[in-house]
Amino acid sequence: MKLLFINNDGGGYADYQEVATGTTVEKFFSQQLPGAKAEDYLIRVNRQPVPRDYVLQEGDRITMTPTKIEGAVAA
Amino acid sequence: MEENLSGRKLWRIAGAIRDQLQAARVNRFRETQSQVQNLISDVTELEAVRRKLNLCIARGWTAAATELSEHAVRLFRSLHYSSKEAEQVTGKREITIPAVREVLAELLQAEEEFEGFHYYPEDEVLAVVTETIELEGVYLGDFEVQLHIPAMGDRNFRSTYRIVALDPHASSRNEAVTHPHVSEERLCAGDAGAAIDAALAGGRICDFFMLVRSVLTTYNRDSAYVVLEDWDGVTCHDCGSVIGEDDTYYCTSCDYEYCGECASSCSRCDETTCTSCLESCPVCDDRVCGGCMTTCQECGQRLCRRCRDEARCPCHDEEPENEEESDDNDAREGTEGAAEGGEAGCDASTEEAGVRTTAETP
Repeated sequence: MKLLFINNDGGGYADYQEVATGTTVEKFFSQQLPGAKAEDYLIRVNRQPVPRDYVLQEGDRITMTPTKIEGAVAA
Repeated sequence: MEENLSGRKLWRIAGAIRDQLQAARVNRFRETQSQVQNLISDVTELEAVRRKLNLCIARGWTAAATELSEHAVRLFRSLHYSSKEAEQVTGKREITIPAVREVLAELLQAEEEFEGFHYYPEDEVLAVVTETIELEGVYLGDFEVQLHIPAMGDRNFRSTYRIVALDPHASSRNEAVTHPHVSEERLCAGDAGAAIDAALAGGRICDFFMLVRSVLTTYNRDSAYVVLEDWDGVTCHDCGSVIGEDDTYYCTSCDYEYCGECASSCSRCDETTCTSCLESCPVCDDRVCGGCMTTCQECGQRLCRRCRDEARCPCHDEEPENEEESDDNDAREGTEGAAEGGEAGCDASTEEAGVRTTAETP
């Protein structure tokens, strides 16, 4: 099934992704951001917070936004 | 004046954001058009050089051919630069124009995510308020992230938003710095820069606000306008008092910062120097920095450069007197020495020499 994934980590991009039926948010997170901790991200599905065992549905819109981003001084 | 947001009002704001994204997209096309035009101008000029070179070669005009070749090299360089710039401009992330209902959904989400979501109609500014921010024990207060909607059509998205401290607790080192990563209400987004640009270019307003909040709630010590340790001022290295940036004196000798009480300056070069790094010149008694102190090449006495240059080291006075002294001693030894003994004669002569030196000193 296909869903829209918006990754606000790094460069920030939005793209459609194919995922297996029955994929949970937790599994999708670990697939997309291996090594990252879920508690350091705001994860929204269809603009709403969801539990980690939420099973993704066809056409879902999922966003992952880091809660800790380092700012810098202008070059 | 801020405005409460009804459904209709939100719809109008969403429409305005969409219009600006369309304007930004057209601006991007214009920028590409301008870059292409620059390249065409250079290529046209190269074509003219080619024709002239053909003529020079046919007629054997070598001097003119040399000049034309140099001109061609300049054009090659210009083409290289222009094509790189054109590539950068055209290779920028595409601006996707979302439907108004998608932008509206972003606004509704922002309203849910942030408590202080509101709109200033006069300036067409959409704003959210962060929670109170405290980083590493330093209270910074809450901030309003203001998105200026008409500016979204501009080429430079980063100028479209401002970070306003609502309860400013600016650094005492620099009043314009209200957060380690905010100066003059501008955020240096660092690692979030690209994601913020992408969110704005896609009309993802809620994502934009969330990314800005993530930067504001994170501290990057290595790249802060003012590090939090120095937020409330600098500690004087000498007396330990806390001082603001304007009252700080930097000692160029030891590289520490001092308050006005503990800082001084060199009597020779006027360089700010702490009192510990100043030395007294034993000749003139002036307090001078290490850089303005030197040693007498003849006797090794430490003294200031001016005293050395003016040959005021005591050894310059003593040398000729020592010779006189020696002559006097010899003479005295001839007349009195036998009766008083060597030691007594030596004491007397030293005393006499001392008196004479004092008398001769102006």
